Amino acid sequence: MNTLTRREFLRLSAIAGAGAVLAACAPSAAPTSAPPAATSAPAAPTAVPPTAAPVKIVLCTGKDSSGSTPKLVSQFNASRKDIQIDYQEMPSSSTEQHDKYATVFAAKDSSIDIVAADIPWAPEFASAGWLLELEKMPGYEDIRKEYFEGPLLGTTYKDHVYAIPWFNNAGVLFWRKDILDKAGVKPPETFEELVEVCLKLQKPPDLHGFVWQGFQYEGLVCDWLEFLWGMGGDFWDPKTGKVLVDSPEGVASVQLMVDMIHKHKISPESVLTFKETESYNVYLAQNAIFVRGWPSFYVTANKDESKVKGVTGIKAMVRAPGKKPGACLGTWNLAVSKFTKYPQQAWEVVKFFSTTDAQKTRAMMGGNPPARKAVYNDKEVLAQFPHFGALGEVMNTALPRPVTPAYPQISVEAIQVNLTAALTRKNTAQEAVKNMKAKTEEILAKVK
Amino acid sequence: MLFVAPAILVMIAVAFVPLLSAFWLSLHDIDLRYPARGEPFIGLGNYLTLAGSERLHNALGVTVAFAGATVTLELVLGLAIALIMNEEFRGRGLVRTALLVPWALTTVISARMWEWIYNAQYGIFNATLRGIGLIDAYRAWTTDPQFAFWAAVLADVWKTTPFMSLLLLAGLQVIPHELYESAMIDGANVWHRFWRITLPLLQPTMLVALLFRTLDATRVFDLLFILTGGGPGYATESLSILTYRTLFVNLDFGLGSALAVFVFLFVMAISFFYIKVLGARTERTI
Repeated sequence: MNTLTRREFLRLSAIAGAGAVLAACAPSAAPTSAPPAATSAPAAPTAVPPTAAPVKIVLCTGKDSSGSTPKLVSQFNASRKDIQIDYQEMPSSSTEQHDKYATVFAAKDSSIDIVAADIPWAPEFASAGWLLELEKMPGYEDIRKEYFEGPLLGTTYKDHVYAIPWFNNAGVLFWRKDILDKAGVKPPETFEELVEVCLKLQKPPDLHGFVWQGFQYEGLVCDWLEFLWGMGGDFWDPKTGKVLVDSPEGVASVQLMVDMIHKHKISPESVLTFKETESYNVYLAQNAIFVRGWPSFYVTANKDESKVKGVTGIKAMVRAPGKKPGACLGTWNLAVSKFTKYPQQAWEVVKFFSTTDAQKTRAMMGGNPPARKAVYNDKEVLAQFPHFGALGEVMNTALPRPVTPAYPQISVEAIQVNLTAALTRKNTAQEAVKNMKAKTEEILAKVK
Repeated sequence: MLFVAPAILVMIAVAFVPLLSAFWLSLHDIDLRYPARGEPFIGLGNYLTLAGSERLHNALGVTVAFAGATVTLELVLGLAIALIMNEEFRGRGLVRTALLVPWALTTVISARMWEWIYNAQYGIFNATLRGIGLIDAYRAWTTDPQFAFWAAVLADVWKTTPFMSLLLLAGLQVIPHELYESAMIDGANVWHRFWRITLPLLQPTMLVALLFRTLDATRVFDLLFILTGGGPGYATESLSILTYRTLFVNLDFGLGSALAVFVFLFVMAISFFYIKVLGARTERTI
């Protein structure tokens, strides 16, 4: 089960033992649950040949509070004699999942067959040689034509496909319908309109205009990319690898964030300490008119105990006039380990999670936007979540963050650090994008 | 010899083998993201990269400043608290127990707690300062490089001063009473007694406490990671955060191993300094 070679073991223990990092990252063999009834011994052992034991496929995902994954797993297990899913929940922190998978895969350990992977991990793990290529698998093309373009881009690295979108996520704008209606104002479409509406209706510090995620972490990058894309700019050209961020749109997008805090003052300085939860809390406490967030927040805002129940609108992010709105994908994919002993069976499991029924179950129980297009038009789904209509539109233009194995490093060292420098006014927007470009090129140069 | 052999073997297995192995890795260019590049031997190449790395210099500066500030403050406060606790007074047991609460909390939890205290929107730090009229609007304290650093220092001092004071209290309690009594008969006042008896006799305990705390503070990770994420920019990025990011964000195991070896040598140097230099002085004094 555990194919850890001596050399790999030494390597891992060396890294761990040198006192540098977190404990508890040693790859552990998956606890093997007893295979269920399929192997039940025949009453007369003479006549019947022994039934083949079902293949056990280990599926690891982050904590699923909706309960949809366990439900689908037991559905699958009940319907199959040949394959049984051994479902293992990881901690909810995606960083912890990433480090755990990286440790297991680096050891070429076969104890995990399928992982749920955050969108930037596909190219990273693929380049490391840890993921199976899926484009030749039977039925892949059928899935592909039913899925959105942006999420698929995020699963493709150097012309090979390494993952299948599991559920989608993309940044959207939430707003207080009651406040805007009362003032007779239409929800803003462009950046200028957003600033205008906020200036007109906000009453800081009790009611801020627009809150978003400005802490120095991955969420900040998503927020900024949405502004950049909404202005018609891009971070790089994925085909040539040319870094394009040093552009008028690049400067303008950074400047917009700086101005929202320091010039227009429609966003409090405290957004620089906000991750999703903090920004949501300000909105839920009725202290903000607009908040940028992920679609599942719509469900939170409309819970019975919410003070903003029924008065929250959801729409695509504001944009520059004549441009498409930017939406940063936070898709989670399912990817198959290169070290699995049962690639075909693992693929069967992945395919099961991509079926319309499975996608629908997940959407209705969890509220996360599905990966399959058809579910957005499903009557039952729309009856429960009317906002999925608007989300289907958002998914059409949503884009992945730069698809490269170097992305995590680019995010921290090139983007986050330089954005923060500009937002805290240690540097100008012009300098920030210039440094961003230089650092990104330096990081990418290593692979050329 | 035969009896200690198992212990020595275990030591070799858990300490020296991984260490040598990490050192061996650090002599190679290993980037897990790009296996196609191979894993060429580059000698001290990674160490040369580190020598020229501004980010390492910054992390080293942050770590040394953090360790210096926290350990100094903890020593002074810890000693003061230990001296008070060493006196007889009603409810001493209760006070001693209460004092341990911060130390008993997991660092991650106390870091989260301080994150809320400094919260720019609802935090009690802002509320207090505005209540006494020092500021007129709430501020996002942890986005200021200077303040972010001192915010972390304060959180660490709050958490680990109890540890320091308990160790020192143990040291105080083994100082014989007769020394103080005879000093009083000779007419030594309270200051004389403190400087001539308490401090010299407490020195071995202080050495141990300082050694523990300095090594801990030098490896600081969780507090900073949660409170500031190493930011703004790299303003609070410690050696451990840098090492973690090099290994697990960048998957650069060659450079990461070199960093780990560097951290190890750095910590060794500190221990050596304490034990040889301060330790020798302590022995002379006694």
